[in-house]
Amino acid sequence: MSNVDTGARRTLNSSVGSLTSVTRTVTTVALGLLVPVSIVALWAYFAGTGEFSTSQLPSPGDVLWAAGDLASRAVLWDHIAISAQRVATGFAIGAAIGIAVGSLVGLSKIAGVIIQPTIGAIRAVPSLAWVPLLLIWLGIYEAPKLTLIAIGAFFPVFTTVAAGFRAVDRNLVEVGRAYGLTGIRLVTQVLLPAAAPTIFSGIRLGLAQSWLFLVAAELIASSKGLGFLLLDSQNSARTDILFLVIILLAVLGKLTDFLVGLLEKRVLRWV
Amino acid sequence: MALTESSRGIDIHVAPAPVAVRGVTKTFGTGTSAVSVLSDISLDIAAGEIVVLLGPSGCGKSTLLRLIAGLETATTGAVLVDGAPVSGINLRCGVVFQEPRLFPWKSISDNVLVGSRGGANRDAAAQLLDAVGLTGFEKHLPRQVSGGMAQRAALARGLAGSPGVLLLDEPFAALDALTRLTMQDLLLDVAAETGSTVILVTHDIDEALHLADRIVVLGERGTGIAEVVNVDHPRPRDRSHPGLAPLRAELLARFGIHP
Repeated sequence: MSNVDTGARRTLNSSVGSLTSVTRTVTTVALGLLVPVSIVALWAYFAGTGEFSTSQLPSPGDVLWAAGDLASRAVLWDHIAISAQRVATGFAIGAAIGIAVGSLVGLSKIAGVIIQPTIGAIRAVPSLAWVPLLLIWLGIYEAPKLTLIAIGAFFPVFTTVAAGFRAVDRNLVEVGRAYGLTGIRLVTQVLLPAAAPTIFSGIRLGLAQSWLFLVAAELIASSKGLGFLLLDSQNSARTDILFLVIILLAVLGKLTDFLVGLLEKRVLRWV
Repeated sequence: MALTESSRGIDIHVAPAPVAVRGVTKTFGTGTSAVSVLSDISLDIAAGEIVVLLGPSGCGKSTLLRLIAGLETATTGAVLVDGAPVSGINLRCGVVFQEPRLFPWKSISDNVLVGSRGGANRDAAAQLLDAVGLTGFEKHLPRQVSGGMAQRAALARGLAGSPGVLLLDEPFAALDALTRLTMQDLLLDVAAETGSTVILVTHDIDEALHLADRIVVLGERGTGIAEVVNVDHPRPRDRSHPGLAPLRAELLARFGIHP
């Protein structure tokens, strides 16, 4: 056997690998920042030409100043916190229901036949069409906002989880059965891990949808949050704050996706 | 290869089980679209015997194997393992498929333990991995090992439950020629060590001649058993032994190839 050789080669590879992987990470980050930095540079240039008024195109400095101003009055953090909390809660509810119903539909043919058409029809309703109904039913406080965000998170999670379970390699399931796994043990030991990569991509899609629906929810009736801040700055022609909120939404969306990505990497080490 | 030496320490002995196939037919579909795959197959396999099911593709040999494993249900007739009829998954069998079919999220060692159905511990898995020459790869993931190594792990998994019958469905068909020959000898080694009854499906005549105590030749789809050939040749067999030539010629002729 060539066990020894392989072992030696592996150690060699891994030490070389870690070096190159650092360089690769640095390169990846640098390349990823290329476009945003260029955009900011272009933005600063156009804002500096004097072609546009500050209410049309505030400079990056204006936006930074607005951020500092809001932060110093401790309002910025409040807005971010309440929005993040709404996304977290709404997403958790929507994703949990999405995983539950998606699993049911993905694992049970008969449940799929019964539920799928209805969910497909509900899905066809533009999600914002629910808003008036939610306001009438649930009032104007947190409940309708959370519900709307949960609706936003539910559909991508549901769809991908159901598809993920259905797409599990039948050959692997057969191995599980051949070695005596049935029912819940077959689900937890074979189907769930096999579907996990798809489930994670559904969760990430659902999270992105949650931020989208957050803005929709906060534009409607609220006195706090990033969506409210958008509307408020539009009404008071504070384009600098508008820019700030848009950038914050981009950063927060990317950040939460990154965190889920980290979790995914930890859980799916075998991929 | 130090396989025979390393497997000498293996402490996995099983009570080999006899297999009886009684008038089995298998039809897929119903009505006009029904396809008869097996018709009236009867076969007695002694405990500890190595039987190779040989036939052209589509002849139903895999289906017969799957019926014994309980992965399919016979349309009529019965399969008895150790005298007891097979209904549902047959846990007295270990199955090895054409593809390794390892769970990609489990280590090689944990994949082997799947075959023990929770009955064996890591020591037993280590012994089995030693027997198939995979010591040192316990913690590797399936994607980190070669196809041949993955198939060895699958063989170890098949043996992990100490099965009375080891069922192999074209287990070496996807391997390269050299690995295939090594794996055939490995299979003979572990079969001799554990004493399991072995039923192997193949379309490779040389493989059948090298492994089998008895070769069961299945005819075209739905025609049943065409011929049973005893290979009374001592082991270890020399693949190029002239004594095997007449049998090879006979089997080739049966498949329409006249050397």
